[in-house]
Amino acid sequence: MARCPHKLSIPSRTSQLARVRRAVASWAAEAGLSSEEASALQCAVDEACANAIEHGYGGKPNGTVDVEAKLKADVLVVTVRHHGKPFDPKQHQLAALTDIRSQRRKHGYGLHLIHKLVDDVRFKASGHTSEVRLTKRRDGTANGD
Amino acid sequence: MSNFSVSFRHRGDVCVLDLTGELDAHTAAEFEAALQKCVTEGDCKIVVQGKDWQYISSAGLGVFMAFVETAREGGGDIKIAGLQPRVFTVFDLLGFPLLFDIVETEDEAVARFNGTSENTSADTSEDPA
Repeated sequence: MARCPHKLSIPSRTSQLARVRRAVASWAAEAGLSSEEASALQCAVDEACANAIEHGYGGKPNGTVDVEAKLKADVLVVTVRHHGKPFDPKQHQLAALTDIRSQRRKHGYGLHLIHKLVDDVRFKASGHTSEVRLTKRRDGTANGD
Repeated sequence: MSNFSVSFRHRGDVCVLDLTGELDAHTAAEFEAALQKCVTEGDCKIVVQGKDWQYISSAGLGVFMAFVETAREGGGDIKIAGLQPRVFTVFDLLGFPLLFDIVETEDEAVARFNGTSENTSADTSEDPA
């Protein structure tokens, strides 16, 4: 993958999530991630975009979600940005997974999934822009290197 | 752009849902409607067949969670069979195998409802989704 970033902007509609997954799969393959690493990153980015659409924009379809990928040494970093309602992780205590499961809750699994699928997760909010940066390490074996 | 679909079959009193494609925040409503149809019609013994099911996100997991107690209260369960490794990984990462009966084959799932380990090749009549 060239070190210049790949970018994709989508309207804030869940129908666009499949398009994001296809793009991430392509970027991950180009970056030399294994199929397992690529699948994990795809799912994490999907979750981040779904959160942006459903919580950032409240399901309204007229927003934009920007997805950007950069290869840095042995990691692929994907950043998801939106300009809707800011997400402050300090205001959102991550409920214990065991509690969510035992209460048979429908929601609350996405952030847990993101944390389990990638190696590092960083949230940032500045003005009207919120972003989550997902880092996936490549194990160096996908291309035999 | 959705490539997700659900179709229904019956094997005796067990309703088998064949899932195809990608279950995400966009397509979860279709799966939710399918499970709602099952429980509304009293089909609480449900097997979700996943051999052609390629993807699940947390929205899909939430749908399973929304219906599993209803199915159990109705004398049945939601059992999951034939998952591809990529889909199973997502269930496993969140500990869902503790809550759901996830087995290798559809026959095994149906047999567990019937309290037998034998292959149950009963009625395989198909219903339109």
